[in-house]
This record gives sequence, structure tokens and C-alpha cells, in this order.
Amino acid sequence: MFENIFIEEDIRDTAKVSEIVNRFKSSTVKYLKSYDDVWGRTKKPYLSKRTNLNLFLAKKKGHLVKEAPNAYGLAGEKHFYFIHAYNCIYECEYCYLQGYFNTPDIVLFLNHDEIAQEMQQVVDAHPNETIWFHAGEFSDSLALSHITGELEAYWEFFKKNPQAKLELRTKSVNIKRLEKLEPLENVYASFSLSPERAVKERDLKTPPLKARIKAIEVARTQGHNIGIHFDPVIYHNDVFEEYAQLFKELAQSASLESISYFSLGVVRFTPQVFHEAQKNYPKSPMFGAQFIKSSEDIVRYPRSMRAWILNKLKESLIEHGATPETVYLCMED
Amino acid sequence: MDLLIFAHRGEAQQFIKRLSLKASEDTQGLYVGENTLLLITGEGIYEVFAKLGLVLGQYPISRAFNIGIAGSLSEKIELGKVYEVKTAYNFTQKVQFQSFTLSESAHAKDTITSSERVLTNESASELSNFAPIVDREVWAVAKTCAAAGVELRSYKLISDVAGEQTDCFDLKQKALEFSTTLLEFWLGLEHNETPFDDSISYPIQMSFTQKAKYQKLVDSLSLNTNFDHKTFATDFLNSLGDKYSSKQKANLLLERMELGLNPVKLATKESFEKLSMPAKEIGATLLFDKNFEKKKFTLQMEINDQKNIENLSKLSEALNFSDFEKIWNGSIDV
Repeated sequence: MFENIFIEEDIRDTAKVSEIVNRFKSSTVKYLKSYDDVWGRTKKPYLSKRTNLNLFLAKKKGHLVKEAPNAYGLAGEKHFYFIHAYNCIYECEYCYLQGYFNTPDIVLFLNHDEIAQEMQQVVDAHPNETIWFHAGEFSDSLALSHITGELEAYWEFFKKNPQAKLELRTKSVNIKRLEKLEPLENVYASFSLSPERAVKERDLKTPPLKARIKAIEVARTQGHNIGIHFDPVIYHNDVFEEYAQLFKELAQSASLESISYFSLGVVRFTPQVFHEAQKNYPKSPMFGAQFIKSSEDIVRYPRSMRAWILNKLKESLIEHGATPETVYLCMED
Repeated sequence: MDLLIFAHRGEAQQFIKRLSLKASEDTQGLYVGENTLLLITGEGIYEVFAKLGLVLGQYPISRAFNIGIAGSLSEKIELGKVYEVKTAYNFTQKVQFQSFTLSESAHAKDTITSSERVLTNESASELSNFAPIVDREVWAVAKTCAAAGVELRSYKLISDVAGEQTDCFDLKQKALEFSTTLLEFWLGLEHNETPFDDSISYPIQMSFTQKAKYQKLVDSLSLNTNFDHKTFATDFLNSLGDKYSSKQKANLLLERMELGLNPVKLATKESFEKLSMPAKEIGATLLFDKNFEKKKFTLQMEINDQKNIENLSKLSEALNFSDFEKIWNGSIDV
């Protein structure tokens, strides 16, 4: 899976590093002072992740927790994200990571205790507020959780801080570690879903839709709070029929009333990511629609088109049983 | 015309012989054939910059091939095997940010071009962090070809393991053997495909701008559906009859095609036009941004009479901003 594993010298003798290295016996192991001596130093093409992906094991320095942009999640509450990893094992054609970093190589930060300490400082600074923490801003929250073992570290923090909430965002079905943990009222496992055809066409290397719906049901039955993201929605002729089918399948698996929240968002890019995606996937059907660059420097569908799509999907989702108050539109005014 | 680029004559010798190339009288290191040129640059990136740019400027080169030997930086790279270069990186005192991807093949390998010979294990180890193969030229060849807009492929024969065990004298002795292996490999490649012809015919007389828009729409619509632009355009233009000029027909065709990319574009435009009617009736215009993206419009009106001012005052009762907001917020029947 990984061509080389680069390990920071400071953590080379830790048990977690040995455990991870033992899982990837065919990878060449190298040591360096700091992961960014190599990672991101040169422009490594995004699609090289298909053939020569490297893994870096490191300690995150600098800011470990950052405030999230407006309209990141439920309105009216403060949102932060913590950085436990850079880059992802999946390859989604619209993914913003392809234009964000200069390399697709994965970094796993192993100093979860320090990240939790910084999260504590954020909570202490906002004593009377609900603070949301999101994992997965730069990586999938659960895809590699069986090898990083980080969930346990964060579980302790959220048990101790019930006013803080955690969202784990994923496209994976890797809920092995989650299943072993006691459900907490303030922790939400959120799954990103797209219609089956879209998953096959654009969410390359991700688990099939049916497996994701099954994972949702297992986690939900066990008592975990579930959030679902229908984001990004990509327009094509059959988009409403395909989403109606997806909502139907989901409703057959679990009552949509039992889902804590849904988000809906249409595809959007920074100009740089749009350019990278066009370069990497020039024949992708996702470019078969009108995109404009808006005044906020976002490349997306024109306003009336994205509002029309989101309204119709929201209506359909509610028709299939979702409670209106639990549906929010992502990154829209 | 193809251009083959080598660092040393030793690596190129079998190519010169097999392709019956003659030394150029004007340019040192250049060999000329009927459809092929061969350039010997000398070793290192500065030699490449000095010689290659000149040749690319003088001759109509459509494709270039950089061929030669390289060193291994990884146990996974086999000695004696020829690898295609995937992405070319550069190390000149430190790794340079700019890289060039030459091939998307799963079998191709990344290669780092070192500005100096790699004669210590320490420097080989440092370079191995970025690529499993090291050479002295490909990054500079790629940079020069990219600037000239010339497509480049590169093939490297792994001659030795880079580091303390590198023996430059021994490599020179084996030049004939290397050149023979490289020629055999090159002759086995299928690199004579003709470029894809993507020019399209236009269904009606169009201006330059209309043609560009038509081409772009055909490209985008073809991504999402099995879109046959010829049949679509013929059927649509026939349905228009004779009441429009060619220019109007072309515009209507483009507008109709745009619906495939944004089904609410026309309805949005028509809804705003309808809401703008009271303004139009008194000689005023509501101006929106091109894509109706911003939630605002400008009211423009020439005032040359008291009557205009009175009409303008009545307009405030006829226009309701919330009606416009509904359109911006997606309340559109399609």
C-alpha cells in the first residue's frame, strides 16, 4: 500500500509506530528529523497516489486545532477542526485535497494527547457555549482508525467534556473501533453518501453505497449518533431520481427521523482545485454543467441553479421522512 | 519531426548508426535525419539548457524523447532494466519545488535529476526520499520542452546503484552495451500514433466567438451524455424555420444547448424579465450581473421630464424585492 514509510526520529521507538510499521512489511522504512523535510517539498502529482504513495508518521506542531469557516456545520454554534492527518487513501474526483497540498502522501500525526490538550483550551475559553470539533478536514476520520487507534484518545476527552461535540466524517465502512466504544451523547459519526452510480464513477476506491448504508445501520443500532452528508451533489439529468432512490434505500434501512442531522451541498471548488480536477479528470461527467466563478472566489453552479437543486433535494428528503429541522444546507447563505 | 536527446555520444551511438543520422555542420552535437533529429547535450542540467533551447527554436519539433542511463536509489529498481520516467524532480543544493509529469503509466517511475554526480551514500539516501531513480538531465529537458510546448517522453536504463559504488570509468566502458539495449527498447515502443483530430464542423455560419462557445458546449455536453451535436443542431435549426437570421439562429442554438448544462438558466432569465416589466413600461432598465449571481440589480433610467419622476415613484409600488429574492433562492418552475 505504501512505497515508503517516513518516521520522525523523535517517535521512532514508540509502540504505536512499531505497530503501524508491522502492518506494512513491504514498505521501505526511512527516518527523518521532521516530516516536512520531505513532505510537500516538491510538487508531487496528485495521481501518483495510485502507484507510489508514501506514509509519514509524525508529531503535529504549531496549531493543532483551528476554527472552521462560517456555515461549516449547524448554524449558531462554534465549530473547530483538529488536525490528526493530512491526505486520504480514497480518490474522489472532486476532492479539494488535490489542489490543497503539493503532495498526495499521507501524514498521520500521533500526538493525540497534545491535540486533546489544545481542544481542552478551546473548551475552557468558551465555558458557556457548545463547541463542535470536526475530524476529517484534511483526511477521512475513520478510514485508517483501525491502525492509528486514535478514537480511544478522543473518546476520553469527550466523556470528560459533555458540552463539547465531536463529528467524525467518513466515506469508509471502517467502524471496527467505533463498535468497541461506548456511544456518547456528544459524539456523531457522520457518513458522506452519494447515489450508487456517482459513488462508482467519482468516489474512486471508496466502499460501495450498500456497504456504507449497512455500516450506518450497525453504528446507529449500537446507539451512536449519526449524521449524513449529501455533499457534494453533482448535477446531471437524472440527479433527482437518483437521490430519491438513495433516500428511499436509506429510509428502508433506518427511519430518517432517527438520524441526528443531514447536510446538503452542491459541488464547489476553489479556482486552484477546479483547475487541478480538470487536469486530473478531464473527461469526468462532473464538468458537464455550467460553472461560474463567484465573487467569493468559489467555482460553482450559478446561484439559482444551486438553490433550485438544494430546494428540490431538501423537499425530497423530507418527503422520505427526514425532520425538516435536521436538514441544513452546507456553505450556502 | 521527432527529437532524440542524449547526454553522451556513447549512449547515442547505436541510434546514430541505425537511423543513418549525419552530423550537423551548424550545431555541435546535433545529428540530422529525414524525420528525426538527435541531440547530444553533454552531462548535467546546464548543458541541457545551453543546447536544447537552441534546437527547439530552430526546428519544428513535435515530439521529444530523452533517452539514457540512470542510477538506482532503491532496491526495488532493477539493474539493466529500462524504465519510463513518470515525474521528473530536481535536486540542486536542495530539492526544487517544480516538477514535470511525463507519463501517467502505472509502470513508469519517478526520477530525480541531480545537479551533481551522486558519489556518496549519504547524498543517494537524501535523493531517495523523493524518487527511486536518479539521473543528470531529464528535469532540465522537461523544463525546456514544457517552455517550448513540445511533448516529451523519457526512458532510462538503470546502469548502476548510485552512491559510493558508482564507477564512472566502468560506465564509459559499457557505453556500447547500454546504447544497444536502449535502441532495442526504443524500437519496440509504439510511439507513432497520430494525434487525435478533435476539430468539429459547425452546423450554421457562426462568428469566431460563437464557434468558440459552440465547441465548449459540445465538449461539456459530451461529458455527461451521449450527445450527438450534429443531429441535435440539425433538428433544432430545422424547427426554427426561416424567420430568423443566421446570427439569431446560432444564438438560439447556443442558448438551447446551454440548457443541458444549466436547466434553470433560461427560466431564471425569463422570470427576471417578467418581474422587470413594470420598469420596462416606464422606460427604465433593471441591470443584473451576467449570471444572476449577486442578489442585487441596478435601476437605470433617463430622466428628461417631470413625468419620468412621477413614473419612477409609482414603480416603487409595482416592484417587490422579495419576488426577485425568490428567484435567486431557486423558486423556479422547470
